Amino acid sequence: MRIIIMSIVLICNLIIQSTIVPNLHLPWSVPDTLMIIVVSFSLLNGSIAGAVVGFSGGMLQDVVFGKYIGLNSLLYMLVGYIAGIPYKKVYIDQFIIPALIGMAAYVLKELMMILILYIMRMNVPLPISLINKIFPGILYTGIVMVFIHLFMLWLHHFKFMNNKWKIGML
Amino acid sequence: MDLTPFYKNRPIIITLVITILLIVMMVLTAGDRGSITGAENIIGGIISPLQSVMYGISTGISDFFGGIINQKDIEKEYATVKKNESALTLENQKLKEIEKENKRLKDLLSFSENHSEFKTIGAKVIGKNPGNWFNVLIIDKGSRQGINKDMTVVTDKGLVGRVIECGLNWSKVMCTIDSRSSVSGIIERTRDNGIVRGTSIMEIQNGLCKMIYLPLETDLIPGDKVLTSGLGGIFPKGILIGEVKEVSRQENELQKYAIIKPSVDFQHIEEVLVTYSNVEKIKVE
Repeated sequence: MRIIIMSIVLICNLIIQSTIVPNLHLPWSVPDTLMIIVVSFSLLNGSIAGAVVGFSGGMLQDVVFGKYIGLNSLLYMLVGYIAGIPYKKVYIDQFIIPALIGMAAYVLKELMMILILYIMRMNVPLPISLINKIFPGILYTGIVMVFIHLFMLWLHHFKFMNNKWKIGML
Repeated sequence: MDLTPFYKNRPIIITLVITILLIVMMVLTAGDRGSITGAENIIGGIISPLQSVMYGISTGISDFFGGIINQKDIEKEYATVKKNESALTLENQKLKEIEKENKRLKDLLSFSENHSEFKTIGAKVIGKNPGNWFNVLIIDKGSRQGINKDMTVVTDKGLVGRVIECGLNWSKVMCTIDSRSSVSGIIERTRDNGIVRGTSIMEIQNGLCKMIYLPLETDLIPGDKVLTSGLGGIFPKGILIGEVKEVSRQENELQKYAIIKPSVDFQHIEEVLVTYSNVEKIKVE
């Protein structure tokens, strides 16, 4: 059941992210709602479940939009895995800590992207434009994270969302 | 053999193995693929109709609010219309949308009439690449409607990009402002050749291109028009790319570069024409 619900969430997110979000015409940057969902899910369910959701969401984006299959799957899988590390180790409140972790994950994701672009010998952006791009991005992530995390918390309260994914299920 | 450390670190080991597999997959798919695999086709087939509907709704909403913000007259008009029945408001909005669409389609038609040497297929934009890094559009026509890889995509304003991959009923279009895109261009007035590359996130701000490899003695002025040169065999000659915004000299180089403002508004793109000229491509054996 949890797999079905998360698949629906990821597909709906992809559709919203590729249609409504670009049409908001936000200045400089756009919020990465997939990353926010992955981080929020990892905080509530741990590294393995986070990595699985990150991989699936990234793969969906790769298939529909990407030229390099695997690029987004890799980024979001690693973000999901890393964001799940504080699971059950650190006290996580409803708003502030998830927003901070989301913002840190955003910076990490963009840095990993630059590294991959560099390795693949593509145009690596200049620092000034990165600052212009990443700072608004951090701000958007922090704001949107609060709302998406509330939604994920609401989803998490249902019993069917709490069947633990074990590594054997992979 | 003691397998305890393996079991203990199994999540990390599996994540590492998948990471390596994904890197291999990325490298394998980095080249020109052209066609889309069966699995990609099925997923795209399910998602593209939904995208088509959502994109239509969201551009409608965005245009609606954009109009209100930009023009006070529309605000007044809106206030009076609000008094009328809600059904009338909806109908009014619908008619406005149709009128705008009609104008856009007429403009597109004028492109195909002016460029009779191109065969064109009309397509709707149904999605844009999420995130900041790449500029890829999804259009609602694919190989079933005769779209092929490397076909040129234009609007009445000028060049949009080229088809990079196509599914049965949908295709991916790489915009000229994508940092991976490069188009051979020519300055209309001076006939200087150069390469127009996208800058998506790279420099200055989004949505501008950079024309590189321009000769040092070139006397470009802001406002000069840049057209496709037809070199390279992908883009037909003579399609407007944009206008020169500023010219600079590359550091330690004997060449100049120009910042180009594309003639197409990539933020508000809704319909496009996919064209193919009658020039046959030379096959390299």
